[in-house]
Amino acid sequence: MPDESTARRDANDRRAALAGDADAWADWVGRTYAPVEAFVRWRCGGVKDLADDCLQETWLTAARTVRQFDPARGEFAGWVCGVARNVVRNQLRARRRHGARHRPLPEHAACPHRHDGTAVAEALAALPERHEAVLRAKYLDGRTVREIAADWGETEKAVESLLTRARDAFRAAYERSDHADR
Amino acid sequence: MPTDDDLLPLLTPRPYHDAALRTTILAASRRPIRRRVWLRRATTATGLIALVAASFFAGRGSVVIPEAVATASPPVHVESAPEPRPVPSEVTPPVEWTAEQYELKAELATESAEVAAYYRRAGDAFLKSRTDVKQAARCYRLHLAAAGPDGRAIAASDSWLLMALKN
Repeated sequence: MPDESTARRDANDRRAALAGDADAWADWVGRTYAPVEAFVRWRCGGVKDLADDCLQETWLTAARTVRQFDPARGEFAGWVCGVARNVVRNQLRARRRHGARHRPLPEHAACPHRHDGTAVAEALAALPERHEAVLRAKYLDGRTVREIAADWGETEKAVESLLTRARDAFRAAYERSDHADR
Repeated sequence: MPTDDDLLPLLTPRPYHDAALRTTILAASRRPIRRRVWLRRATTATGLIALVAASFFAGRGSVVIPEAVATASPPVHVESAPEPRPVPSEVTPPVEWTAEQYELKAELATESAEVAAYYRRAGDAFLKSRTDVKQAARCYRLHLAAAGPDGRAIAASDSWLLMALKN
């Protein structure tokens, strides 16, 4: 749950955006762009073209569907990250379909740099939301197990256990994705 | 602090920021927001036009529909009701006969019941209009004679004199 001042500010920005105030929208996006960009790039495994496409589609979708954002339920950045999560999944699915129709030549397919990022993105997309959230808190936000436990209201042992399961799930998904690419 | 986390190379974010992309995205996402103003104006204008059109057609309908009804329905013949006769403000009472006239009627009547009734009226007339007790008593005695035993029962409409005679 967001604190009261953040919720009030988000509610005002939402109202202004719905009234068609483009300048208020630009301010709002400016305040939340950096964390959303960091999340999308991490979520896309650092694959630049995938991340760029996802960022554009994410913000356009957010602008079109801002009416659905409820300031009482969470911060705007969190809501946009939720939109981004769906956008990345759809983009990966579309690329998979496209890749099945246009098989790359063997020498290009063997390029490890390209495959690492896509396999990471595929593996993260395959994880349950809870596993993805703990990996995000640990690796993207750089938080310690103690900090995560305090934020989530869990014991350190529970977070440690969840992190272990999330890592195992990620490894398995990454292996599957990596083998499918090759 | 040493770590054996094998996922660090894969999951550690690579810091990268594209300022040009940010500018492009900001400009592109402003468009749907600005479109809301036009959308709202268009919705308001459409609503107003619809309201005016609805008012216009409602007005036309209020003229056309009664005309159509008037031409479609068969003419109704209304018969005029006969005017009521003027009611006289006061009923003229029947002409009250005099005591002598009642006595004459009694003498001319053939039925004993009629005779009794006319003598009774003659007695009443003598008593009320002239206060002639003697003549009234005479007519009442004739009434009682004609009425027979049935006429001797005292009634509420009897005058004081007739009651006294019956007793």
